[in-house]
Amino acid sequence: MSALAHYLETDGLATTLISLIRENSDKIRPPRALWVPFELGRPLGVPNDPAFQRRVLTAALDLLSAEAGPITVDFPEEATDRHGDPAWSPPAVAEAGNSAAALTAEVAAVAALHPDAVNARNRTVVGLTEVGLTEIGDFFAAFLNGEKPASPRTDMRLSDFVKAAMEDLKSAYGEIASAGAGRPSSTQIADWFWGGTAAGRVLLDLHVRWADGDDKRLKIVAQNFMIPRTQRHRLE
Amino acid sequence: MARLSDIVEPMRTRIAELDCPTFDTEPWVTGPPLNERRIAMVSSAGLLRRGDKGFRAGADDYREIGDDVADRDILMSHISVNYDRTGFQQDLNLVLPRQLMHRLAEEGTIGSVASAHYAFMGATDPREMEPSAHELANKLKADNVDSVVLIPV
Repeated sequence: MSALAHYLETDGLATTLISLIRENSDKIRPPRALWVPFELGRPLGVPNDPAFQRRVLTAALDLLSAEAGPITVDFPEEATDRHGDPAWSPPAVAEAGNSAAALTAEVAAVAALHPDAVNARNRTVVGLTEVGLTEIGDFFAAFLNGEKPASPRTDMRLSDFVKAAMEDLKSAYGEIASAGAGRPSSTQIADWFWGGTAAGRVLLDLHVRWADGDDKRLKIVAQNFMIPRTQRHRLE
Repeated sequence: MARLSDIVEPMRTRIAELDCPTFDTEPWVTGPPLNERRIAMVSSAGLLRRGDKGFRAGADDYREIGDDVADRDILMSHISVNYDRTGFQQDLNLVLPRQLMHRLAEEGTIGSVASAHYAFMGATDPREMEPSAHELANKLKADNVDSVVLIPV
């Protein structure tokens, strides 16, 4: 982002940047940067808190009026929701184990709850695959059964579909997890998905199979784009 | 959490030792008062419109997201799994604050909001994005944009 700011400013556009990693922007020295102490993935700080987000955005915009630069300013507030909500409890969909049957039953339960979550927000970020949740569950279950299914999308190679399907699956679980009472933190939702659901256990299992397997593209996905660093202890 | 000390290893060291580009020049563009500026947003979140082609590792291009594209038709296809997506699932404005930008325009804090915003996939070395960035600058200027807010994930 800092380098993009440099390129755009070179071409005559004034830029202001929200910086999540101060050390990187300090190296690149973009014209104007607002460093924020927020979690990666949350540049405006707190979801569904427009007042907080507004303070972040206006602080970044105010830098456009600075008289000289490069300039980096620290945003003075911490995100208010980083410690999670002890009252939150996950939706009652989780199946035990990591079998194909557990996965398909659990995904069916998620798919049944998902429309309410979508309607409540009038929005979903599920849809990278353009394939239904049940079909995605069946797709991963086939690998557990020793099969190697073809990509359900003829215009997406298998490894690309696998990556998109994982994101769609995690998004559906995340959307139902945050749709009810309570304001779970990202850590609460991630710990539930990777440690408390059949889907999380299945992906951990498939990670091992693909990382050790002979499909080079699935190996790359498994090794680099599958299990978050914060959840890799579950592989040990 | 985006303090380096809060990030788990080995990601912390990888970020700390990231080979960042450095530049000999320090461009600095002045402009009119904020309430006269036309502003676009550029994200590195791998955002795209529902139905767009997803980003792959090494992607150096960008996707255009019209300012009038419905919230429900904006997805994320970043390749990294090492940042939070649950906030984005709950609130698009956490990553692409279009509603806020429009409110600021209606209140007269900024001049106007661009007719489109743009997203790169931030895991790519930004040096590879330079040709796309120059192309994007021309698009932005054709929309009379004079200022850009860059928003990472």
